[in-house]
Parts: sequence; C-alpha cells; structure tokens
Amino acid sequence: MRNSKLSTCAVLALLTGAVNPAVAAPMHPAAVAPPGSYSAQVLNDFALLADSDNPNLVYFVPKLGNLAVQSPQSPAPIPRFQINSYYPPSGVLQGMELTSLGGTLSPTADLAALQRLQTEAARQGLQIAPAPVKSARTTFNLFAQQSLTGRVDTQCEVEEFIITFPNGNQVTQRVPKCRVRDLDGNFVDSNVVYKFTSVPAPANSTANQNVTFQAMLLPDWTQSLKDTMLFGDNFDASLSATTEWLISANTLTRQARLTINWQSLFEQASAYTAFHLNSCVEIEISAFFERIATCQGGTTPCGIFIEYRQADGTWTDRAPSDANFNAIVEALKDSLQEELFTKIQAVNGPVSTQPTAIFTLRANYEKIVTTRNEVMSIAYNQGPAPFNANTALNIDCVTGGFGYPVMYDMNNPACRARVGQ
Amino acid sequence: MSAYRILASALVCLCSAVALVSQPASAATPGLTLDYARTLEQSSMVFVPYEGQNRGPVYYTQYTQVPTGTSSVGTLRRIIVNLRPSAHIQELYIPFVNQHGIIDVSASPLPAHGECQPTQGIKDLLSFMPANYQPTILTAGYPVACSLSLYFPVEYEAAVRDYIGTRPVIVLDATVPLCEPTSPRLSVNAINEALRTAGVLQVSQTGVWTGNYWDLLYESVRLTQTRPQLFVTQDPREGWQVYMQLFQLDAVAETATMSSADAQQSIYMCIPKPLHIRFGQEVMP
Repeated sequence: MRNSKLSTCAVLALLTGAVNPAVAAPMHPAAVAPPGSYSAQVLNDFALLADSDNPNLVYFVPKLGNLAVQSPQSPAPIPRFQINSYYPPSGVLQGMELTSLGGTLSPTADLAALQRLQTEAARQGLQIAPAPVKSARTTFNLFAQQSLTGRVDTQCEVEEFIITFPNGNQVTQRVPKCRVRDLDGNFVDSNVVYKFTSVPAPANSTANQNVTFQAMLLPDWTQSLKDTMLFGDNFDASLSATTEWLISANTLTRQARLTINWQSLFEQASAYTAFHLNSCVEIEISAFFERIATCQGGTTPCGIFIEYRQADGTWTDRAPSDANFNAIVEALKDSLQEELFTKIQAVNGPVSTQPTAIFTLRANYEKIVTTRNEVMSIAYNQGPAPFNANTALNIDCVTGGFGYPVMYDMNNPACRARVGQ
Repeated sequence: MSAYRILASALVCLCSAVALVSQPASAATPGLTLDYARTLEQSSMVFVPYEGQNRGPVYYTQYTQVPTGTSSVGTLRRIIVNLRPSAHIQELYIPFVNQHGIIDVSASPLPAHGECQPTQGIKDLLSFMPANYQPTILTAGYPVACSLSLYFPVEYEAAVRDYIGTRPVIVLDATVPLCEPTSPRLSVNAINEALRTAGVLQVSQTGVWTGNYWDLLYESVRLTQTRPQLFVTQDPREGWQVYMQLFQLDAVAETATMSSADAQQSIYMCIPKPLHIRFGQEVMP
C-alpha cells in the first residue's frame, strides 16, 4: 500500500516534471536578460537566453563549433574527419587527382569553452541547457566561392583553348570546365566542388546537433589541401560552415492601465459608427481602437488615456515598441469591444458560412451614465519573437590524411585545450 | 595646456554623454581587451594575451613563400604559393606556445589590417595566360597569411618553379595596431578616491559611484591641473576624457553615475606601437 502511494507520488512528480519543460521556453534577450553574470570569454563564446519559468536555467547557443571529436580525454582523441585522394576511372576527369573528404561538425566541440560556461553557471547556482530551436539551416562555404546547402552535382566537360607563348609558339590546352547550379538554380562555373552532400541539423531540436558532410573537390585544390593537412593548418580558407538557428523566444506579458471617460468614449464611438452608416465591419472597428490608442490629450477629448508599465515599475504614456503597440490595440479591442459595440452576424443553418459580421453601437446605458473616470488594467503580449543565433563551424587541429590516418593535433596547446586537456 | 581648452572639451564630452543617456539603455557587449604589458616577443613571433587569460593572437613579422606540389588540371598545371610564417617552417612555433602555455586564437592580420598582391614579375612571366587563369590571390586563413594561385602550361613548370625559388611572388603589406607594453594604465579607482576626498563623489555599498555632475566636472578638471599624474597621459585631457566617458549622466537629476565594474578598471592609455608585417617588397629602380 505504502509502496503504491509512493509510486503515485513518483508518477505525479514525473508528470509535473514532464509537463513543465513543454511550457517553458527561452525568453527573448530583449525582454529578459539571462540570469547570472559571466566572463567576457564566455559571452564571446556563447549566446545565452533566460527561461520563461525556471529562474535558475540558462539556455546556450555556441557561437563557434569544430570537428566532432571522440574519446576527448584519451591521449589520442579521434576526430570525425577523413580526407583522401581519388582518381576517377573514367569520364572527363579520368586520371586526375581529386580530393574526397568528409566529416562531422559539432557546435559543442570546444569542450573547454563549454566547461567554462558550466563552471561559471554552477558557481552562481545555475543550470545550463542547449537552447531549443525551431529550425536550423546550415550553409557550407568552399574556397570562399560557393554557399552550398544540401546536395550539389557538378556537370563537367572539356574546354579547349589555344595559348600563344611569348616566343610565338602556340599550344592547345584541354581543361575540364565544370558548372554547378547555384542557390537560384542558375549554372555557374566552378573549379572547386565536384560533388557535395550534407545532412543538416534537424528542425525542432536543440542547438547542439551535429552536421555531417561529404565532398569531392576538383583537381585544382588537391595539392593545396595536402599542404593544409601536412602543416596542420586550419581549413578556414577551404571549407567552413555556418548553422543559423531560429529560436522562437517568448516575450514578457506586460501590463497597461486605462483611464476611461465613458461619456467621451461613447461620443467618439457614436461619431465613428455614424460615419460608417452604423454598420462597421471588423477592420473598421480595429481602426477605431488604433485611433483611440494613438489619441493624444487625455481622457476628455480622447475618451481614454493609456499608460504602460515600465520594467522599473513606473508608468509612461509612450508604448515601449511597435510590436507592443500592436499588442495593446488588440488588447484594447478585446476588453472594450463588448462594451461599445454590438456584433450582428447572420447565421445560415447550424454552421455560419458568413465570413464577416457587422458592428453597431451598443446602447450601454450603464456605462454612458457613469460620470466618473473608470480605471482598468489590461495585460498584453506581443507574442513569440524570433531570435537568430549563428554557430560558425570550422575544421582545424587535424593532421595526416591522404593515405595516413587523420590525427588530432595534441602538440598544440590550443587544440589540447579544446578537448579539455 | 590652457584651462579653457579643458573646459571646452568638458562641455563637448558632457553634451555627447547626455545624448548617449537619452537613448534606451542597451546591454553593453563586453569585449575582450588585449593586455599589452604581457606581450611576448620571440624570434619573429609576437603574442598579446587577452586580459586575465593566456589566450590571444599570435602575429608574425617574418613570412616565407612555400609552393605546393603541382596539380594537373587537364593539360594545365597549377601551383599554389602559400605565405607561411617563418617560425612555423623553422619549427619554433610549437615549442614557443608550449613553453608559455599559449592558447593561440588563430587571428589572421588579413584582410582587416592589410593586403596581398602578386608581384609584377610573376604577372609578367604568366601574362600570356587567358584571363581565367592569371595569377590570383586567394583568401587564406591562419597561419597562412595569403595564397597565390598560378596556372601554367606544362612547358613552363620548370621556369615557374625556378622563379618562385629565387624571387618573391607575393607582396604582403599589413600594419596591426598594437600598443607599447609600457603604455601607462589609468587607475579609475585612484581618481574616484581623490574626488571622494574632495567631497564630489560618493560610493554605495555595491560600489556604484555617484555625484552631482556640475561638481564632478569642476573638480575633475581642477584635478587635471593639480594632480595631472593621476590622468597618466602627457596631455591630461586625454586621460580625463576617457575617465569622464565612464559616467552615465542623468540630465534631469543632474547626477553622474559610474558602475562598480567600470570603477575597478585600469584602462590602457595606448602609446601606439604598430606591428608592420612586410614581405616581397620590390626594390624600385
């Protein structure tokens, strides 16, 4: 019996625990600053967001990512990257040395940066979690020439041209000429990519998803990439990617205070509906509320005086932003429409097929005879605001390849620091 | 240094500060600042760490041009010439970073602080190539400062390799703005304390400094005359301007406020020491 009670409690706890995260969402940084204070380095490495419900939770989006690394704590971590030569057996590029490369890029590959964020957050009693994202788009940049997403297939043919040497001799050159479709679907010349595929970060996930790619590059670049791998240079000039995360961030529900002079307000409404032959359509009603929301001069000429609550608790008659102003017009309409207007809607049978209704002035004597100003509070929310954050993904700290295993560069302290050693 | 110049600049500063205050307060983006006092220079490498860290950019004063192997593109041949730091080729870089525990942030001086060009000599050598295959500078990253792409017919391979082996093919000209390691530091706290003694500023429990801004203005300008050493710069006006910028002014209440974070700063008053990086400068006849 006792056991079953306990397990009921556990299930309840589990349920509440499971329900909360579904409601909780990142807050837009313009509305709520992320909790805690962080070093310049952490703010440089991450975009941070507050949570709508849990004051001790910080969401992060890494600004820089690198190759995914396995066994980071071992003396020889394994980078998820491979690069090799490939000689096509037939076709236009037969016998030329192409480069085939592939790997997995991870936004949280800089374990030291993540550790720094974790330490600074934990010191302030805060938890960290990757930000939930609505959608993600990864763009690859190869030799600063092409922005590629998804899949690329190149069409190659042989181009012939004649070169005249300074001494007057002429020679015919036969060079592969490749073309690739750009993002707009037009063919453009390419001397970089032969084939390219990538698996992008999924939508409706979190900002720590890996991105996998495979590419085959034209012979022009093979020797350059061999050099890069020999010296352990970074690939920034050759291949980099950017993932653009779209986060649907909540905004604050704000409060506004209305001081209403009903007699004056009804005068306005009466004049307005009379002008529209006592039959306003919905959009005209919206326009009426927009007009009274922008009316300057207090309750007597306008009928209404709106004050907005500021973050510091004071009241002002200036709307904090455009988005807030639109929200307040909607909120005004919701709360005052019933008092001022009567909605008339034709009903055809059980289901109305009438798309619109008409509004006429309501004979609301209870309010019209009120001689005092009435003060009302309304709440408004501009709705979720999109927040974009980018992660730049780069390849570096690798050596070898082209017939040798690709090794993580443990000689360099910057690379060692990245895997937390 | 005449007093009226200081007062005139005080008014300019005040007006601009008031203009700043009237805008919505946005969260300041904390930047990483370089700690010039800990600059390390060793065999053509210059490392400047960020404040409070062992991370920072490593710049190089000497570069070497290194050609790649030859690629075959149809009947054409291609070589890319990389401008690589000499310290990397002489294998001095890894011992240097390991010895000092340097975390290199891989900052390239290009394209922000300079540019690369092919030399006239190599352009002349390959001037017969069609437009698409002319010598071209490629974007490079780090540590390679820049790369030059050369296409040529197979008959020219020996000539091109000879040329690269004997003469520069890339001109690099970059100037990185750095400061002297001995640049003086302006101690904000020392000036605040002097003004507190003068009865102009008060400090709260949380370390926020406030005071009437007319009094602050008058006393701080007086301080530039009576104790110019507090403002560390040759012309105390420069240090004074930097100091005054740290205050948030409230035009209605006539108060000036400095955050506790700003009050703890000690700001570099930069004595410029630009780092010139040159390669392949052709001698003008």
